[in-house]
Amino acid sequence: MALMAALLAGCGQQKATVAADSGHDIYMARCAMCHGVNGEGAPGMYPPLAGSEWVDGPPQRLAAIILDGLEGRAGNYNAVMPGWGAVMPDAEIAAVMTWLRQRDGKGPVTAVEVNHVRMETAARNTFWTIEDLRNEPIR
Amino acid sequence: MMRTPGDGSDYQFYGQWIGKDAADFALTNQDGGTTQLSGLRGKVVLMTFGFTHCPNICPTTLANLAAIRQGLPALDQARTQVLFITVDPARDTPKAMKDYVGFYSPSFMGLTGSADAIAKVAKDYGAYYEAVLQDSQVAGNYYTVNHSAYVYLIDPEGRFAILYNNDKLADHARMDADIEHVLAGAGQ
Repeated sequence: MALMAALLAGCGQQKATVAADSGHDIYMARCAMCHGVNGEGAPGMYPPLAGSEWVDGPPQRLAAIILDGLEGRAGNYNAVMPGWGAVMPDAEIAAVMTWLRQRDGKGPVTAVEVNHVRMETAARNTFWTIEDLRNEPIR
Repeated sequence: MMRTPGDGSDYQFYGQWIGKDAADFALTNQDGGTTQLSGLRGKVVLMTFGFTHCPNICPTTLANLAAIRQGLPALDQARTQVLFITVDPARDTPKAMKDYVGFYSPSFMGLTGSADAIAKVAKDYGAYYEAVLQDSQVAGNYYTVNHSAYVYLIDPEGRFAILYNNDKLADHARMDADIEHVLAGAGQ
């Protein structure tokens, strides 16, 4: 991640953050239908996002899930999450991640960081599973 | 036989194996004509995104790609095409691209197009770019472009075969080994 940031810095100034307010709009359009308007989730189906270790943990892991989706049992939640990488640009994913994480007091995520994950996982063509995420830590 | 990991040879690719169909595109080349990716079948295509005002990464990338290509046997050089696709089509005219890529190798192709066409190709390949105004604006047109700097290897059958993080380009011998392995599998 640091290397990529350094490379990109060579081609111009880094934008420090993505606006979190647009992140809320994106959340309402893309995520709230399942995860709830306040990130409360739904029992047995969709995990809550507010205060979740998956949201507040390594941003690379969260970006990977948003890009390629997640299936299989995640705790007590059984629904399959689709991947959004084909329809959401890096900046949108970064904005929604930033909005979600800032609610929990975590730092922002840049589009450059999301793009790094997109490219490092470019070979992937299936949903993630919890096991994959544990076994293939994303750099 | 097309080269893939586990195809029976013991070769380990230096780059990240992708093995997906490469999205086709047609853009304007440095001579003002049209270049279509699928028209380059039979060659290894090394493709990267950048822009001619790029102060740092693009020159390094293109210098590395020139050295990588020159490190190949002559026949393989002729079957290896470098494509430099601009992420700054407003400033990168075909003429600007010709002057820029020609400095590194007369064999290189520089591609430009409409903003929409460029955005489509960048999206298809997961490339990130964003124009950023500089602090010291000159005539309202002084900006730079942040962009990702990967190199995509498209194999002779038009498959997006291998992805290289930019830091891998410095090892020319290992890059050449990948290219030669892919070309050897494509038949002569």
